[in-house]
Amino acid sequence: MSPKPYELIPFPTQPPKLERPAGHAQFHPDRLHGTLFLTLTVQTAVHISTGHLALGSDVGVKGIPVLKTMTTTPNGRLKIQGSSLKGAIRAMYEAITNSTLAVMTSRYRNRIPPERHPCRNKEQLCPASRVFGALNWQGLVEFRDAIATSAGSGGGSLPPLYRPRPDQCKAYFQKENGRVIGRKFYYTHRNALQDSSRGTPTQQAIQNTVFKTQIHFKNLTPAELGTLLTVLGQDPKHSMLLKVGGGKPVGLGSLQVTLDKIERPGNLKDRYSRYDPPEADTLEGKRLQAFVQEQIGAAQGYILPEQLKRLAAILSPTALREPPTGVY
Amino acid sequence: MLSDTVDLSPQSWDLAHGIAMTLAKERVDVDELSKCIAYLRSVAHHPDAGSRFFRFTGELVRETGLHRSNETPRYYRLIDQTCKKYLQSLQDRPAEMLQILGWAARLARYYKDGGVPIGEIPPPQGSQPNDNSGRKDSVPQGAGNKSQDDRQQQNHQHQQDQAQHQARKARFQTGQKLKATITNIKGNEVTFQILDTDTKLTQKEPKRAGSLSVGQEVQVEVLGLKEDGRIRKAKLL
Repeated sequence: MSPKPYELIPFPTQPPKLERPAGHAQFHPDRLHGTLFLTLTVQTAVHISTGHLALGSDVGVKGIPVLKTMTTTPNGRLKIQGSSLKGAIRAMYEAITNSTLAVMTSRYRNRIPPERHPCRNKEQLCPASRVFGALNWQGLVEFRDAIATSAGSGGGSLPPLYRPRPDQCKAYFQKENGRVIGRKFYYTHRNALQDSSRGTPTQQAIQNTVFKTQIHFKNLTPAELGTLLTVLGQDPKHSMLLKVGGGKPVGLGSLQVTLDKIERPGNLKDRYSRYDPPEADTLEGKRLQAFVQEQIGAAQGYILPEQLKRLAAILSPTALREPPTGVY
Repeated sequence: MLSDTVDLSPQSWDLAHGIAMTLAKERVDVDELSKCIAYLRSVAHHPDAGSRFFRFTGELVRETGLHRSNETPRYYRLIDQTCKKYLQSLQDRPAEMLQILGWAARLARYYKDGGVPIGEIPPPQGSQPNDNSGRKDSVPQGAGNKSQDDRQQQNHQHQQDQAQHQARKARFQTGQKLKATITNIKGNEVTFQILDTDTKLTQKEPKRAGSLSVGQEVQVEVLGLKEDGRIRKAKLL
């Protein structure tokens, strides 16, 4: 049996600190607002299923008669839904801050520590829920869909995978009380495994496909923005890839994030009191680097160092592993 | 995306029933048919949508990577055969194919869940939807004719029922006083049925509910009407 292609990051021992969120009613002058402009480069093929089947010729994939499709724009460019990105990024943000889970299955309710149950009270939110949202509370960040910069896509065969079987794997639970240990993350792999004989034919964003997207943020503290930038792999000491979509256990779904620029409204009063909005203050190059380092510095003490170290080791862009070929 | 809709002719209904009965009889998973319908909808704006659809159903049979269980190949095979049998002649009319398949999927669920005994399955020969004259000639002799006659009789009966139902749909006016029977009382919600009509009305009667009983005859005054002429609110006299 191959070694497991994932690792569990334990929950922190301290319960999360719940606070009132910043709210959307006003742009607080002491907080940060703006837009992150990101480039996502595919490291190992990405497939995010729509549930829709099509002929290969319909989506411009040669050599595969019929396949599972990905979402595309009306002009045929591949698209990664903002919700998929948000889910992946939130999971990482939760893991490195002292946060609750975003969602849970009622089946495992009793096995999840009570302090990690999703936030239900919008006045008392954990760090991740304050930024990404919770029940009755819209978050402070908005994700745009990531659109491929060029047309075309590739095809591949996704190897058959078993469903997660936590009940059959003791490694998921603590020996003493049977409670869930922590959050599960799949390793980054050198290449995506394809199984042309038994696999499911899929439309994929092949290696080196480039996507562009934006994340809008408002009322974030420097620590919160710093944590978001760390999750996006902008901390040189803890570089990380994103893992999105299907086939993560067999190496699919790695994305390298590059931060192109940050736009911030230069003067909030001007921004909302004029018909023609003034030009935003754009941070690029050295100014951008300095700003990013400043925010990441502010996140020290907010991010849990042990959790960050472990997550960066799992999602490292340099220490890549071989995907498991057999049953794991 | 195709936004055209078409009214189904009796012949097209026969096709929908035929597809549904065949698939229900063979216990085919209707969700698999729905996937094929979703595909047809996604390509329906192309001029060759019909032929693409049949190529798609054919490829589903051949592509083993999409088979999830031992039953899936059988489902795909039957869907492919049935669609080709019933819809091949309509392949230049994707909007009509979509309507027929959409109803076929709903009817297949109805036949499966309702446990309705499936009689003789309508033959695909009558697949010329707007060709009423040719249709009679194309129906096979013998048992096929008998089932066709039965179905026509059923259709006639259904039309008569519909006419009676329409007749019972009374037209109301604001201020009109009507006799009604109380058919149900749930908490403070009382349901009235206006006499000699199909009209039922449920509304809250917090002060009167306690003193009323099911079956009691009462008089109501129409206070307001909906856009389609049905009663929106009535006052218990």
